[in-house]
Amino acid sequence: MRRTSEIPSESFDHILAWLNPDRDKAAALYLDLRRSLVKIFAWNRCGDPEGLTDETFDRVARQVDHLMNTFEGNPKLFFYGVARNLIKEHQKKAKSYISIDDVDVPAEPPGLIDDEDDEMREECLRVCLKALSRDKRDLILAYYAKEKQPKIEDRARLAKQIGVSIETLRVRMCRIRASLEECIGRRLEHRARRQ
Amino acid sequence: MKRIESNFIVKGTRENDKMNEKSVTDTLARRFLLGDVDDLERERIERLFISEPEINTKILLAEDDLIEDYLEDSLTPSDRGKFLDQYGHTAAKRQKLRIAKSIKEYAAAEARLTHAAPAIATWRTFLASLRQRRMLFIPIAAVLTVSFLLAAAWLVRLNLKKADENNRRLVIERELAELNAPGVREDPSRVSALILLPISIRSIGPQTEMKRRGDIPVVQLDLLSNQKDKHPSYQAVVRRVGTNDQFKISSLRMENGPKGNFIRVRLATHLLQTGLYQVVVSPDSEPSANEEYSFTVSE
Repeated sequence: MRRTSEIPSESFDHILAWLNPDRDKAAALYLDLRRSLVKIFAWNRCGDPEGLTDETFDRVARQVDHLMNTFEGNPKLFFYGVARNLIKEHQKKAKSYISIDDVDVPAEPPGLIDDEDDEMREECLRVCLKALSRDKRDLILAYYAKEKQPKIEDRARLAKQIGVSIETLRVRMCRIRASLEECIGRRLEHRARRQ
Repeated sequence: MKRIESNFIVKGTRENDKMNEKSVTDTLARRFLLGDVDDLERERIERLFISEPEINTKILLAEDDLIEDYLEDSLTPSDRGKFLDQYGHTAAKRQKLRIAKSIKEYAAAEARLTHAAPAIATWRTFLASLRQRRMLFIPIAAVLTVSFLLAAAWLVRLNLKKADENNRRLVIERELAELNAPGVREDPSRVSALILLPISIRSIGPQTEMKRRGDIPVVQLDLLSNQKDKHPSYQAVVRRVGTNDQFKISSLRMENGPKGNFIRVRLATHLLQTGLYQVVVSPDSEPSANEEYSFTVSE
C-alpha cells in the first residue's frame, strides 16, 4: 500500500534544491524521478512500488544535507542506488516467504483482465478523457483506434497529418497515456476508498 | 545501510561513463522488460533509464508496444508467458493492463462510431434538409393538391357539361329529325310558316321576321331554292348569329311548290330565341353547293 511520505517539508525542499537550483525544473525532475523509480520497483516485481518509492525518498531525505555538500555526479543515480538496495531487501524477504509458505505464483493470474468493474473503469476513463484538451483527446483516441497492420499505417498517417515524426508521435502518446492512466488510477482509488 | 549505499554509489559513479557509452536497442529493451536479461545487464539498463532521458523514453515506448502486443494477442507463447510473469504479478500492474485495455477498446469503439458517422451524418443531413424544407414544402404541396383537386373538379364539370350538351343536342336533333321526317304532316294550327328566299336572290330586301308565339309549337321554313339540279337529300344547318347555338337537320328533300323548288325545314318553337338566324342548306353529296337564308325571331 502506498503510504504517506514522512519527509519533512524542509528536507523535501533540500531534495528539490539538490536535484536542480531552479525550483520549477527541480519539481519536474522530482516527478520524473518518482515515476521512474516506481517503474523500476515494478519491473523488479516489488509488491508496492509506490510505497518503496516513498521509502527511497525518505532515506535520501535523511542524508540530503550531507549529500548536497559531498556527493559528486548525477543525484538521480544516488536515488537509484538507494532503490536498488530496497529491491534487494524486498527480494530477500520474498524468497524467505516463498521458502516458508511454498507459494507458487500462477503463470496467468486469474481474472487478469476481468476482476475489476469494467463499467466503473470506463466511467473513470470517460471523465479523464474529458479532462484532456480536445486535441489530446482526439489524438489519443485516433492513435489507439486500430490494431496490428492497420494500426501501423494509421499511426504513420496520423504523424504526417500533425506534421511530426512517428517517434515524436509515440513519445507524445506515451505521455498523454501516462497522464490518462494516472487520472484513471486516482479516480479508481478514490472510488475504492469511498465504497 | 548508509555505508552500503555509499559503496554502491561510488561503484556506480566510477563505471557510469563507460556504461553510458552503450546504447539500449529496442530488442534489448524488450528483453529487459520481459525479465530476459541477467542482473548486471538489468542494473545497467535501470541506471540508464534513471539518468538518460533518451533511454528512459525508449524503454517506456518499448513497454507501450509490449503491452499493446499483449492486448492484441501478438506475442509469441514464450513472450506471453514472460509478460504475464512480469506484468500480472502485482495488482498495480494488472490495473495498468486493464486501463490500457479500456483505452484501446474505447478508442476502437469511438473509431467505429466515427467511421459510421459519415453515412449517418448524410442521412441526418438529408432528414434535416427535409425538415427545413418542410416549411416551404407544405404550402407548395397544399397549393398543388388544391390546384389538382380544382382542376379535377373542373374537368369533371366540363365533361359533365359536354355530356349534358351532347345529350341536349341529341335530344334536339332527334326532335328535329322527327319534325322533319318524310311524310310527317303537322296540324296547320300548330305551325307558323315562313317562306325564305336565298340571300343571293333576296339581295337587299327586308329581313324576314318571325314573331315567336308560345302557343304555336312548330316553325315551318320553306326555303326556296335557286338550284336547278336536284339531289337525293339535303342537310340544313340552323345557327343563331353571334352564338354557338346551331342545329343540323339531315335527310331533307327538295320539293316542288307554286313558287318553285323549295326545301321544307321544321323547327321547334321553343328552340328559337330572339335574334338573327342563319340557315345554310346544301346537298349531302355536295356540301359546297350551298344556299344561305336568314330570318329574325322577335317576341
